[in-house]
Amino acid sequence: MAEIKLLQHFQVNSVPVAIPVRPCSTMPNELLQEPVDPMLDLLDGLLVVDMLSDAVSMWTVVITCVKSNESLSFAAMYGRRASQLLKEQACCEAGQLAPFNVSYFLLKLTDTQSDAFEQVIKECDEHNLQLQSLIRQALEQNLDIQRARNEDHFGAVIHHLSLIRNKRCLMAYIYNREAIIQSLRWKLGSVLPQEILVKLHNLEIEYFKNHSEALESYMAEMDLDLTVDMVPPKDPYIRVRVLDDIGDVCLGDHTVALTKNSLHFLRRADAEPFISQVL
Amino acid sequence: MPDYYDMDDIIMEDQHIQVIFQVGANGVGLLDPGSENNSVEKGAKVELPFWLAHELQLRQAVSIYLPACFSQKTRNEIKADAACVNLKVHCPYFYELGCKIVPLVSDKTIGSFLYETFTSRYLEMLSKSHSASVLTAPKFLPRLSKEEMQLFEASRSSMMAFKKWRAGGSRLEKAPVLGRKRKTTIPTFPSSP
Repeated sequence: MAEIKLLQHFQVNSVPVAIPVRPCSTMPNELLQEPVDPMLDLLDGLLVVDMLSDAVSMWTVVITCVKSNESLSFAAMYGRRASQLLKEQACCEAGQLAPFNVSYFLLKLTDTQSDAFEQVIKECDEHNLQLQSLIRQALEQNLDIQRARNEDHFGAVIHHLSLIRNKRCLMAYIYNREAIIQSLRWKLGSVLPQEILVKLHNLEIEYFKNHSEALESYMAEMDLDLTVDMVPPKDPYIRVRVLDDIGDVCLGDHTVALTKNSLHFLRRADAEPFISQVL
Repeated sequence: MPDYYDMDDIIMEDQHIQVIFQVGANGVGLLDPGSENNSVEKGAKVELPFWLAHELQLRQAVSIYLPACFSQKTRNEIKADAACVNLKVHCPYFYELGCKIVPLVSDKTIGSFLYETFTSRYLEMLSKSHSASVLTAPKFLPRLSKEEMQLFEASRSSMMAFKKWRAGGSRLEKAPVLGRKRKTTIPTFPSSP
């Protein structure tokens, strides 16, 4: 790729930054340590190119997480689209009165939104191209990139800031979804109902499975179910009325036929998962 | 310093404010709808989102105008009766933006202005959040800014939790993620406490 060569050409006295390519599901936590900081004054030196290539590899990571889709035009304002993605989330949250309002935005990830994700990445590519052409221009004029403060410099600054902004939006989007997916495991158990599954991206489903497995192996190690009610019950047994036909269920040492409207006297810990899953 | 992943902070920074370019910038014609050669001239007056304006201000590339939500007109409005002003229309993140913009503009009265606004609105908001019915949204809700809305919800949900605790409601419920209907509690006995 010609652009990459151009980048390497710049890397004279800067330390190359290696960004390991990781799957989407593990990204946010590991990137917690590197918030905005070093990127802010980078246009003041050659470091810019370095950080740029950093950003580029960042995007290739993100791109792998997204379904390919048809292209759309550049946004009307830099960073607008990315923040709209987030806004949609935030609106859904605010629209819900129940304390677990998070669910709503999970339910909202439709095709249009995954489109939006893709579009933001396209926007970033555009920024990247423009940024490079501006730097190339400056080089052709034999200017000192570190000191020159001409129109090209500020144009480049704006494109660069837009890149960073878009990155932050996308990262926050993924990160906040991860948090909700994790909480789903605690509330719903290891199997997600279909209505939620269809709202998730394939990689997110995989993430959910991995998280679920990790939690299960930990609980097996501790020999303790951590997902049951935190308050110790007064009586280990509770009386439940079955709302829906479930069929025969093996609970501990015996099998119970849970048919509709039948009453049972069950161990509390056994009944809890059924209640939280609305059965 | 807010969290890097804080959605509210990110959305807040999307607020548009007016700036004047102190320098020219090439290749960013999108910012100035009136430009012809894909660049912004020196002295151009454009609207930028706060995140961009902030960074450019730090590099002395632009100078920021005071946003309309802190103008003298708005201040008079708020001074007249703070509780009746629709802050959401002026700026959904009124307080946050105010706090962030103080170091960037020369007007130093914003701080005290924000403080007065908040204190005069807070009392009514708090009492209403405790007394208002749970199912219907109170009339004044659309007037609140995002920050006030969060406070309102917090106080309302804690009030609801308190009532539930007093009535001794059931502890086991279906996960709220499932189903659109509000809380259909499944009777379980004995309930605690």
